[in-house]
Amino acid sequence: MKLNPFKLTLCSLVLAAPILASGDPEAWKSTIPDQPAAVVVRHATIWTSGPQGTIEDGDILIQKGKIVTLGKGLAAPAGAVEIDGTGKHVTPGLIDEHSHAAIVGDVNEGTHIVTAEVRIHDVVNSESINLYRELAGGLTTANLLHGSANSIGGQNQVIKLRWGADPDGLMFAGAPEGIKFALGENPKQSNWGVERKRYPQTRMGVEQSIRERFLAALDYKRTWDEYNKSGSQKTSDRVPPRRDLQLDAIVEILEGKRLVHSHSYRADEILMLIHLADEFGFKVASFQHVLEGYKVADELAKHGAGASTFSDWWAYKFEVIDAIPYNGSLMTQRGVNVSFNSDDSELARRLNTEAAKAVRYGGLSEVDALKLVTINPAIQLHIQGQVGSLEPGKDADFVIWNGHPLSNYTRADQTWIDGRKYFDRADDLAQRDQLVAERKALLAKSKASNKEKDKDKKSDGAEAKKPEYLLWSDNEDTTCRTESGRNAHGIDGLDTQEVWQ
Amino acid sequence: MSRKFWLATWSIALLAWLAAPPAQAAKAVRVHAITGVRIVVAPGKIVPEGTVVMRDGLIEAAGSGVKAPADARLWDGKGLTVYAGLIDPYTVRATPELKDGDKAPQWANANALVRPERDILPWAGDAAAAKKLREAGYTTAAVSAKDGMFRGQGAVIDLGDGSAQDNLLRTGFAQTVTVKPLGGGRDNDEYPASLMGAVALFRQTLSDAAWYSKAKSAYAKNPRQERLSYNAALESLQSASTGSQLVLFETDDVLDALRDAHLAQEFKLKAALLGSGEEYKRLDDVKATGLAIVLPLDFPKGPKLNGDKDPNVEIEDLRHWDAAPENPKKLLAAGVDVSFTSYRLDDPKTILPNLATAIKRGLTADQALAGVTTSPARFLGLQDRIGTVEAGKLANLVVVDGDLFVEKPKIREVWVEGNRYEIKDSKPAEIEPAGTWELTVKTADGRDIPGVLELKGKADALTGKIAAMGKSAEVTATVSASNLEIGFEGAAFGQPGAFTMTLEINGDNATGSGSSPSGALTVTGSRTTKPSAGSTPPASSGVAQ
Repeated sequence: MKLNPFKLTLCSLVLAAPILASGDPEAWKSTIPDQPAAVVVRHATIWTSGPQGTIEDGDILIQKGKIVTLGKGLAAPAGAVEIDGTGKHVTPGLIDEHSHAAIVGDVNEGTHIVTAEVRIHDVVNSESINLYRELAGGLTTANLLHGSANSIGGQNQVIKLRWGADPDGLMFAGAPEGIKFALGENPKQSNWGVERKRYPQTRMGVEQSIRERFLAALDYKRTWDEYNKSGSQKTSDRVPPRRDLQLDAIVEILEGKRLVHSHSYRADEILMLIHLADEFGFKVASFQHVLEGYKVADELAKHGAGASTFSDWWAYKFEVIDAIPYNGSLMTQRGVNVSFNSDDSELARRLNTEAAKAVRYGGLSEVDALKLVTINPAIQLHIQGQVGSLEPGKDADFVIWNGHPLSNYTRADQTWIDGRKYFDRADDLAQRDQLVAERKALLAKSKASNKEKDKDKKSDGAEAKKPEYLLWSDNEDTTCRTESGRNAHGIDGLDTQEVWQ
Repeated sequence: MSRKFWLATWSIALLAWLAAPPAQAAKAVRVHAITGVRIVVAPGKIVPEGTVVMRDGLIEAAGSGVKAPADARLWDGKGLTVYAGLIDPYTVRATPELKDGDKAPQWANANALVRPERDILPWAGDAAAAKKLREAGYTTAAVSAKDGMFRGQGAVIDLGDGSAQDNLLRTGFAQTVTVKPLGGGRDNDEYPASLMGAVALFRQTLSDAAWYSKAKSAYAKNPRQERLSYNAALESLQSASTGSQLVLFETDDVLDALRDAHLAQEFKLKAALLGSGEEYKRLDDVKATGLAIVLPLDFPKGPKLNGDKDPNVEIEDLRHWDAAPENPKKLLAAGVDVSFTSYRLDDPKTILPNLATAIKRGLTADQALAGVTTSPARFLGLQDRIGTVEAGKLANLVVVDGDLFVEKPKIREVWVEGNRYEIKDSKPAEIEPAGTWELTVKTADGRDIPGVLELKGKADALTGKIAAMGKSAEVTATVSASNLEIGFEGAAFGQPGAFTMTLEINGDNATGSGSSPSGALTVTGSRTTKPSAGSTPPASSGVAQ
């Protein structure tokens, strides 16, 4: 058969055209970027958040997804991808210690006071556009947490924001397992005005609900230990204990295999959980929000708990009345490992400027302020061996900023994870016209195919739905409930962000 | 017509019966042959003109050289095409909901969503649903319970008249599972209210099933220990949890598919997926699950366009609208085992035009046919009994004027286990035929037989009976425009097979024609009494079946 050179040319054109940059607005349509054998960024200001401090006019060498060396005038292997970082800043990829940005379905299993058996791992949403938007803000790692409706809530999942990967591909390999606890108003719900009254309704009861489960877990563990010791497993002539997935998770806390991240606001409840943890012999890895942490900073430091707080978010409910923007700085100065988190899919796009507020409030150094969203949250998640700072041997997760990373005029130009460029602002800009054209073409196609059908459809104004109003009525059922039957205060549905704080 | 004459006719019929083989004496003899018909034996295997012979509900012979036997009732199939009856591997039936305050049976699982022990059979028979499916060309359907997480034991039934037991092909073909929060009739205070909670409940339940099995054998070995309580849910999960029974997971999107496949792998289940239609989005992942997919074909509608105004529609939705009809082709090209289902379609009839759309987008006609015949037959473990037009298979056929996979397929009749169901386009009723009708039925050999038809109810829900020769039978009666169609079993009149009559109603007068086991009929008659105004009995769904 004779080859037609013209046809071949056409073919190669057609093949070349549809390959978009990795960052399509839909994850499934985005390709996983290549991992170059070697990458070197030169002449940048490098904020390592590690022992090498800040390197002016520095180079960073990446090989096969790992950081190899940092310094000045580095030699790079032949064929290395060279990036000119003149006038730019490089920081570690940012880490959000408290995120709900990529979860399928409700963020709370709010039906029971303890739901230690549920796992965010099962419901990671690889398709959420939040991931791409947060990448564009320099975020590379997020701790996806269960909501705060339960004293012992679900198991969290640490992910990397590998846009385009499926749920398995997002998981942070090697991150220790953890679990969400919550104290105060959200688990006790006594002021929510809903018909349902769930035990407990007081802060005393919250403590009791946790203590009861730990005692049950000890009992459960004893039963298993006895069964295993008896040799009955081999003879299989004794009815084995029933595996309880909830108590399994709590036993893992007692055995130090599962990190506790506890939602909290008030000093009293923070102390309560520290005492309870000391009594049962485990450490709280991090207190979340912890807005009165500055009152009990010494106790936090002594227990060894991290504190993951907001920069300046308060006045959204009574139990946060004593919040101050100096909280992060004050706790840092008393020796607590502090991080700033987003707890919000939009705020997570600019954690760098959140960190900057600790310079303004409390006078942290710029280097220490950046650590609030890099190495410190990594330490709280026990993943500081892989990420959180730019050090040889760590994952090549880094951001190239077009200016000082703590300035609110600065934006991320490129975000890299595992030595792959997952976000490039230039590619993103170039792609926008393409997307507009694609949408236009699809609309034209739709118009052509709908022409006939549209003719049959007359105005359906008559069917317009009556608006539904929320009324206070004699029927308690309708109070505080939206038409979907969900509680407007958001325990079941994420209607307002206040609930999560 | 004299009574004597009737008796004589009767006696002849009786004698003819007695002459038949003794084993068949008690049963209606059902022998039919469709002659001169184009036969699509199986995907890719076509006989341009041949005969299909059915005897006692089975295909006796099918092909070009086949001759109709002397005892067969003949049906002229000239210009028509016969395919194997379509098989729907996924339909659902509502089962009684648990109401507030209802206690689950003591022996069942504490969570009302976990009902693996529920057998769908008592609810599987639904004459109206069967009729709807037949009108779409279906002759067999798998049936599962609609609500819950562990939804229970599914059954496979043929779509003929009669009870589910009469039509049953298979019980317990799968444990149907939906790993989603909340079932029917429950408040959202009930656990689980989140997807992750649902996964946790699924995991705990299967963990319990494994424990129950170990516990049972330990207790059997050594009864000198605390007695093990019986648990119906865990008992009935044993075949699924040990990988011998199929677990069919219903999914709504591609992430569901990947999640459910992980769960199946975690517990080493023999699994399949009810698909979402967006498998193309993560095709490699879906393929890697290795699971068969039962695929609904509810392609999305395009956006509502209002002149040149840019509609408020996301590119994601436009892309899906554009890509969805290619999903079947892509899955098959990737080597996934796919069967199609009418599930999620407002009307099962839409399956055929939607397959036509998929064919336009790259699916082959053979793949389409396999997806509604041979593939679901294999999926249901019934490939030896249904799915092709071959001798020895059940006589489940669909007869079409033209092709099956077109925008407006002209289905003429379906045969379910050798019983014929004529398919007609139904139009809104223009008449109310309730009342008493005196009819004269003229047979093919020129005899006139008087009969009385009594109908009750509104046009959309008629019930009634027909009486002749001192005997009577219940009738099915439907109205389309000004036509009344009635059908009844000839058994009561000593006739082996079904009668159908179509009457054009003009005021109180009726004229029409019909068919009987012994040939064509013409019918005339008039209404002698009408129900008095306002006393129309309430519409009943109890159309005699």
